Formats: sequence, C-alpha cells, structure tokens
Amino acid sequence: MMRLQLDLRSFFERFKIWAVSFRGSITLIALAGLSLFPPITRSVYWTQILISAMIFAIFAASWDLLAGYAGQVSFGHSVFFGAAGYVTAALVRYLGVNWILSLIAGAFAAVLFSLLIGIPCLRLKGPYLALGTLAFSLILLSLFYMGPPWSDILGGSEGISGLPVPPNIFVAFYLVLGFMIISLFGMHAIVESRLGTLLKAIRDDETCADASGINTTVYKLIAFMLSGFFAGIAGSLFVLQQTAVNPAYFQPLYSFYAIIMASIGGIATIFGSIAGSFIFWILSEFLRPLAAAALLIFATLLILIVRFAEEGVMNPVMERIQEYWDKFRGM
Amino acid sequence: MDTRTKQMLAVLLVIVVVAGVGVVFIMLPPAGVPIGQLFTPGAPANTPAENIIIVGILDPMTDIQGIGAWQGAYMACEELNLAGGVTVDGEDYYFGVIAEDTSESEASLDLTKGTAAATKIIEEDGAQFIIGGFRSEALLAYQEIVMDNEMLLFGTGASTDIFCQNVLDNYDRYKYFFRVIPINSTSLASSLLRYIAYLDGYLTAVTGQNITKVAVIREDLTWTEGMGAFLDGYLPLYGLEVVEHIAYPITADAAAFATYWQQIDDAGAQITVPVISAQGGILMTTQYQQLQPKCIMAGIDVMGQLDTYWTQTAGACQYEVVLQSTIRTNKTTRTIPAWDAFLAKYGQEPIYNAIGSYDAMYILAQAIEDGQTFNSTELIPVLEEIDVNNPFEGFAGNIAFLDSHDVFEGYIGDTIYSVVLFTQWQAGGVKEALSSGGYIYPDSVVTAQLVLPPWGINP
Amino acid sequence: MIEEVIIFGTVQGALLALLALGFSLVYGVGGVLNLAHGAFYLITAYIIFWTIPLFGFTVSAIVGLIAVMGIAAFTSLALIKPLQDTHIGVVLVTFALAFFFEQFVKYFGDPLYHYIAPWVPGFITLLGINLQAQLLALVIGSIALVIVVTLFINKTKIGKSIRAVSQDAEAASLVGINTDLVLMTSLVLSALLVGFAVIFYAPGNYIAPHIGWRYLLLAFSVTIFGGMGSIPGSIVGAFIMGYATTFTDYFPMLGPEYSQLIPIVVILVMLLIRPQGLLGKEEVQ
Repeated sequence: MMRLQLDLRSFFERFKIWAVSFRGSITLIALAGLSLFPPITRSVYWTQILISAMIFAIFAASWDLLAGYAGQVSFGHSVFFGAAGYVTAALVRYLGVNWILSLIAGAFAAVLFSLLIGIPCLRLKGPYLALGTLAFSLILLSLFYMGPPWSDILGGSEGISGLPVPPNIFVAFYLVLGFMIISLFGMHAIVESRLGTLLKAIRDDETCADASGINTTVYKLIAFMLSGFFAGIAGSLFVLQQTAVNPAYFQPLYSFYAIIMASIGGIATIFGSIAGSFIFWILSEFLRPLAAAALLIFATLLILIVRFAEEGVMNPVMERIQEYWDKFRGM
Repeated sequence: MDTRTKQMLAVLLVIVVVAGVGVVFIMLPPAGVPIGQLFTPGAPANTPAENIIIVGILDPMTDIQGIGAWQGAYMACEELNLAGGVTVDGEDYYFGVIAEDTSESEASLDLTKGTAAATKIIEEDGAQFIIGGFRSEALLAYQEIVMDNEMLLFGTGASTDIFCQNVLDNYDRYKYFFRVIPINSTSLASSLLRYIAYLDGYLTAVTGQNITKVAVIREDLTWTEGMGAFLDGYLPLYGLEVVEHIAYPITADAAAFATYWQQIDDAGAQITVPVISAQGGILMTTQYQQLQPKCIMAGIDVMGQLDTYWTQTAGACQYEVVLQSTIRTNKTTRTIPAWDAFLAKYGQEPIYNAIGSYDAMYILAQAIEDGQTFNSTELIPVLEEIDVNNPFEGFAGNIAFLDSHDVFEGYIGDTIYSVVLFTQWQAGGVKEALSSGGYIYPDSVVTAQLVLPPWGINP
Repeated sequence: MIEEVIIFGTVQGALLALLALGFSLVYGVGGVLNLAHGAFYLITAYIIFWTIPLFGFTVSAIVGLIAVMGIAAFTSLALIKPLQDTHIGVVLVTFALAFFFEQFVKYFGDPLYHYIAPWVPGFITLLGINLQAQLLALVIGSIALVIVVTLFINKTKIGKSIRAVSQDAEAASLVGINTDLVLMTSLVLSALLVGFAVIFYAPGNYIAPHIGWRYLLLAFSVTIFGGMGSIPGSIVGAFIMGYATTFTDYFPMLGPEYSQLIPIVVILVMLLIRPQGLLGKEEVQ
C-alpha cells in the first residue's frame, strides 16, 4: 500500500514534467483535438468510427503490454476480448446489471481467462506460445459455435443480442475516451514502473533474470493478468457498442487486429497503439467506397507499412516533428 | 552487389510492383457494387433532391448475396421510377438506391463493418428505409441501429426465426422489421419433409419398387442440427426409414465424400437428403456423378441454387433435386416477366436475395402510396394490412405478413404465397420445377417431370 | 472402420507431409514463421485454375510451380530478409501477404467456390473402399517428393548448408555459408512442395479465396506436433496427425462434430507436455 502511494505520487510528478515536455504537449494537443471532434463535426458516423478506434487502441495496447514489454507474444488475445464480451452481455441482457458493473465484471472474467491461459503456457516461448494461445482461442471459438447441448448455455452461433443501445452516441464517445485515457496512462505507468523494468528484463534475457533472483513465473503471470484486464475492458466496451456478442469475438481476426495496430504504431510504446488503431480504422473507412478493391489496397498498404516502418510509424514521425520543433524553438 | 545497389534495386522492385498493381486497378472496372453512391435510375433528370426517396441496401456487397440484393433493388427502382414513382399529397416522388458494404459473408466476420455500414447509410447517405441482411450474427448487431432510428428494415436474406420472434416479444422496438424472403427455418424443414414424403409415393409408383430407405447427409453446423433431428423424427411417421445419417465436418474433402457415398450406397438408400449450405455441395455432386450410387438426391444444397452451379460442377449436378425459392415459372403473374427482365438486364439468373429486394422495393412503394406518408412508424399499420386476405402480388409469390412480420408460407386455392419450389437440374444445365403432388405448391407451376438417373435406384 | 482410417489417414498424411515439410524447413533455417505458406497453396491453385482453359493441365501446372517459386523468392528477398531481426515483423508481413493473396484472387476472380477436375480419372478399390485414383497419385507423389527432398538436403552442397544453418546459424555464417541464400533456397523449396501439394490434391477438390488459412493451420499444427525445424519430425508428425484426424472423423463416440476440435486439443496437450514436439530439438526458442 505504502509503495503504491509513493508510485502514485511520483507518477503525478512525472506527469507534470511530461505535460510541458515536447511529447506531453503533443499528446495533450492531440487529446484536446480528439475531444473537440464530435461537437465540431457533429457526425454520428465518424464518432462511431472513432469510438471503435479508441476501443481497439486499448485492446492493441494491452497486447503491446504483454508482447512488447513482457515478451510474451500472444496470437490468442481475442480470448480476453470474447470472455469479457460474453460476461458483460449476459449480465446486461439477462440480469439487467448496470453497464459499468458489467464492464468491471467482464474485465475480471478476462483476468480469470488470462490465468487459465497464462499458467499452462508459462513454459512456452516464441512461436510455441503464439500457437498455444491461438489454439486456446480456436477451442473457445469452436465451443461457442457448437450446437445443443452446448448452445443452450453458450448461446450458439447467434450469441447474445439486443443489448440496450447507448442513449447518446456523443456521451458514449466521451465515456470511451475517458476509458482510453485512463487505460493507456495506466498501462504506461505500469511499464515505466519497477514492474515494467522487471518485465523488460525477463523479455530481454529470461535466464539472466531468473539467475538474478527475479521470480519470472510470477511476473509473467502478472503481465498476463494485467494485459487480460485491459483487453477485457476493451472487449466489454466493444460489446456495449455493438449491442451483440457472438462466437466471432473469439476469432483470430481480432487477435491479428491487435497485433497489426500495435505494430503500425510501434511495438513497446503503448501510446503507439493509439496511432496504429486510428490509422487502421480511418484508413479502412476511407477505402470503403472502393468496395471490392478496398481490402486489396488495404492489404497492399499493410505490407508496405510493415515492411518499411519496422519501428512503427509513431516514434519516427514524432522524432521528425521534434527536430522541426527544436529548430523552431532554437530560432 | 553492395548494400546501396541492393537497396536501390529493392526500392525499384517495390515501385514496379506497386505501379503494376495500380495499372491493373485502373484498367479493370471495379467488380461488384458501387458503394455509397446514390442512384436514381429512371427518375426524371430534374427531380429535386427532396423528392427522392432514398432506400439503403445493406449487404455483403462483394459477394453474390449483396450483388444480387443490389441488382434486384436497382431494377425495381428503375421500373418504379419509369412508371412515375409514387404520388404523395399530389406531388411526385421517385426512388433512389444506395449501397453500403457490411462484409458479413467473410469467413472471418468483423462485426464493426456491419455496424459502421448501417451508421453510414443512415447518417451520411440519408437512407430513409433499409433493405438487406444476410448473416444472422451480423444482422443481429446492426439491426439495432436501424431500430434505434425507427426505420423500416426489410429482411431479404436471413432465415433465422429470432428476428420475427423479436417482433412478437418486443413489438415496440422491433416492429420495424419485416421479412420478405426467405421463409423461416421451421417452414423450410417442414417443406422438405412434405416433399420427401411425396417423393416416396411418386418413386414407388414410377419404379414399382418399395421405396422406404432414406439417407440424410448434412454439414455439421448449428442450422442443420435442428433439421437433421426433425427429419430423423418425422420421416418414420411417413413409413420411411433413415438408414444412414451423416453429419460431416465443414472442412471435409473429396476423399471424405467418396466414403460418404459408399456408406450411403452400402446402406441401400433410395433417396438421399442433403442439408448443405457451403462448398460441400460441390464435392457431394461431383462424387455422386463419379460413383453413381443408386439413389436420388433431393434436399437443400444452397450452392445448387446458383445458375453457375452447372459449370462449377462440370455438369455433375444433373439429376439433383434442390430446394429453391423461385425459378422461371408462374408462381404469380409477375414471376416470369420479372425473371426475364432480370436475365436480360444482368445476364444472370436472380438469386433469392435479388428477388426479395425487388419485392421489398415494390411493397415499400405500395405502402407509401397507400399510407401517403414517408414515416416508417406510420407505414407499419399499412404494411400489416398486407395479410393472407390481402396479399401483395410479387416476384417471389403472394407476400402476406403474419403478426410476427414473417411471411405466410403455403397456398390457398390458386393463390401461391411464399413457398419454396423443388427443382431439378436436367440435361443441358436447365433447371425445372417438379411436382410436389400439391403438398407444398399446386401443380400449376410445374415445368417438367422428375428424371431418374439412368443407373437406377437401389432395390 | 479400420480400413477407412488406414487409407484415408495415409492420404491425409501424404498431403500434410507436403505441406508441413517446407514450413518446418523454413522455420528451422531462419526462425521464420511464414504465415503466407497457405497463401502459396491458394495462389498456385488459382494460377492453375485460371490457366487450364488456355494451356491444359500439364502446362498450367508447370506455370503454377514456376510462379509460386518466383513469389517465394520475391517474398524472401523483399519482405522476409529485411525484417528477419524482428520476428514479429516477419509474422506480420507474411500475414499481410497471405491476406493480400486472398483478396487478390477474390478481386480478380470471384468469391465463388470452384472445382478443378482430377487429372487422374476414375476410381480404384483398395481394401473394399472406393478411392479417387487422384488420391493414390497424391500418396505416391508425396512419398517420392519426400525422398527427393531428404536426399537433396543430405547429399547436395546447398542442402548441407541448409542443415548447417538450421543447426547453428552463427557458426554457419562464420564458416562462409551465405545464410540469405540458404533462407531463400529453403523458402523456394517449401513453395515448390506446396505447389506439388496443389497439383496432386487440388484437382478433384474445391478452391475458394479463403482456403489458404486452412492449409496454413494444417502445416502449422503438424510442425508443432512433430517439432519445429525437424524434418523427420514433420514427416512422422504428418502421418500421425493424418491417422488421428481420420480416426476422430470415423470414431462413433466422437463423431465429426468434435473432429475439428480434437486436433487443436491434441496440439495444445502436446504443447503443454512436450513443447519441443515429437522429434524437436531440446532447446525451445
């Protein structure tokens, strides 16, 4: 408890310094711009897209926390997404629980699943871990798609639908924005803390970390749980936005969305996920009028981005801007 | 080669590839449906924008279902406009159609594509009424947006009962949903059962053999389970024995189908009932032709409904009897002219999504004309008047809505409502409507007799 | 039932061996997880399907093989090699490539399923079971190719380099082996094997834009089962998996309902008990 307070205080102090720094001011300007978007444009459609982008920014960042910092590359991140989605949907739809309580319950369900996956997969590394987690998500996908008697409990291919629609899309926007800011800064604080340093040590050389007395098992599990928690928040928000949940939530597709977005933004950056997610969503909506060609062009661009922006787009672009910024200030 | 040259070569290579792909993109006209563009075919050129009634089509626009729905709606739109549109309060209004892609037929379903498309079509494209929906899971998510906007949604693709159950359970919210096509899964199963019962009697009379042995082959997906159990339970009541019941994994390959036919033939089946929506149908038919098991195939093979199926299976689908919503036959007086017009306009036969969307446009036009309003909520009572006593004569049949806003299935006297036809692929790749002995539809729509495979039927 | 399991298990195993051998080889050489492996199958199948009306099957098959080898060489040089240090980069770029090919055939072809007629017509009866003659060709072809590839790797100079790099990349490059060339060779070899899998297996089967993912998953699971980077492991693994999946298809208690689930569960259990696979190297990395 004591240490937590200290951590919190140092966090606020760091925040002050950060806010006046180059990156801090850029972030705050961007956030201000984002929060002004709905009142200025009054576009329900683009607000809806930005909500999706923000939800997936949380999801991608949670993957980045696990893969980028703790070095545990997961291909089955959609498990947390789906588990939280189903719990939230069931609570809201069948028990009439308040959405925020359902969301928290969903996030904790995801934590439970992160332990379920994390513990057996502790021994696995690299592609083996990737496939192990992928296998978990595929098993859940098949289980939820199964017919009776399974479908009586799990809902079958239609899942749970007809959740209440958020009464006002603009209010929903600011709520999700709040969730994104808290989650992202939360994750950033985690990776900047002692815990983050330990995780990076495990990522870079597990044997060495083990030898220097770090209990790698416990810390890897903590990474899984934290990642699962934030992914769960994203999953719950997503189900509240879509108003329906079905087995498709467990698809590898969503795991790959997280990986793609985190990589576009830059791995091991946390905030890069925002850039990655926004680029992903806005680009795919801009390509929408091209219909059949849209996905082909999207795939081409994806190849080019991944090929030529190894560090992701956020850091290189920020560095370039900072150069100009410094030049401008030096004048 | 030093690194510099290699880098330059790599960059050059990428440029060449990108340029090549780019050129090909420009050379080829985009396949499929124009997205997010309003079309007002047949409307006078000087029609003011406020006199255009915008109908949004939501479907997977890069796949056959979406393309079909778009073509059907577009053709109806053009016909309606050329006939003068609709008149409300003495002023002429014309129709416009606009499409958004929900990508719902992709193997990996991304729900956000559907909800984003629904939001866009309502908020940006200004759609006032919606037609479409194909995959239940996707429609369940994005129909909420349409309901939220209190807008009519004509279902022209999904057959799951849940949508109409919603209308009964929560009328105030879901009353905007009307199903135009297809008939629901329960009616589908019962139609299939009635046809097999009829076929039994017919084959017994024609072959002089005692026809009692039936095999069921279905893909192992949720929707076929109920139907499989239903057939297992009810066929014995008609004196038929299910001698083989195969539920195959959706990934089964050609080798697997060879064994299935082997098992079916060994069991002595005389009728084989497929319940298949996916590619398994292609393998089933091609293996049937090669192995020539002594039985007749009659059932649901969704791919077999397409006019391309004959070439897709290289003619192997000959003798297969498939359930199909409509072919070129006089279900109503409108069916044959509309069919011919569609074929002339697009060079291909309409699939059920096309037929349903065509009818949905006409139903909407009639309701607007009768109700003298564009308000969806006020149009609902007008649409609800289209019932069994006062059906709408459409392309797919006489459409009559039930309390659940589902379509009425069956026929009364000469009036054929929304029924499915049993059709057979016959020599030369033509599809003919067979008799159902009056069990499902009257013989007035029959275009040909059942042809049995020359290799005979098991004793 | 036992006859079915033997025959169709062998057929399945022969296919899996062709798919998994190259995948495992490429992983062993460069630690490259090639998610475009299934897409190689897809694009070969479509090239053959599109060119059959022009040239007939034999020429189309050769065109398909050459094309897929070219694609593999390009992938290796332009996409994989520059990103080899960041393993996640390779995974992503090959994933994007696989996605690209899926959309490519969908855009320039159509989203429908198509059927390629078998080039070995007719049926043969083995142990009382009717079998497409095409599938017998698959078994024979697969065995022949596996032998040829094993000889190539053990006897030729480049094959020996592949083995050397697979065992210790650093040491291999120290003694002057061009690791880039070795990576490219193994990728082209894997594409060639996949191409042959298409030639033997696609005729008589359906093709559709999304089939690549299924073949990727098959190759991936066999490789995990047999041991990443182990050539004997992937061959043995392929046949064991072949018999196992066929068994679950026919085993009355389980039924096909579970047959999609069982292989994944088996892989998961395998991963948890013996992560390095049947014949994999002890060191898991």
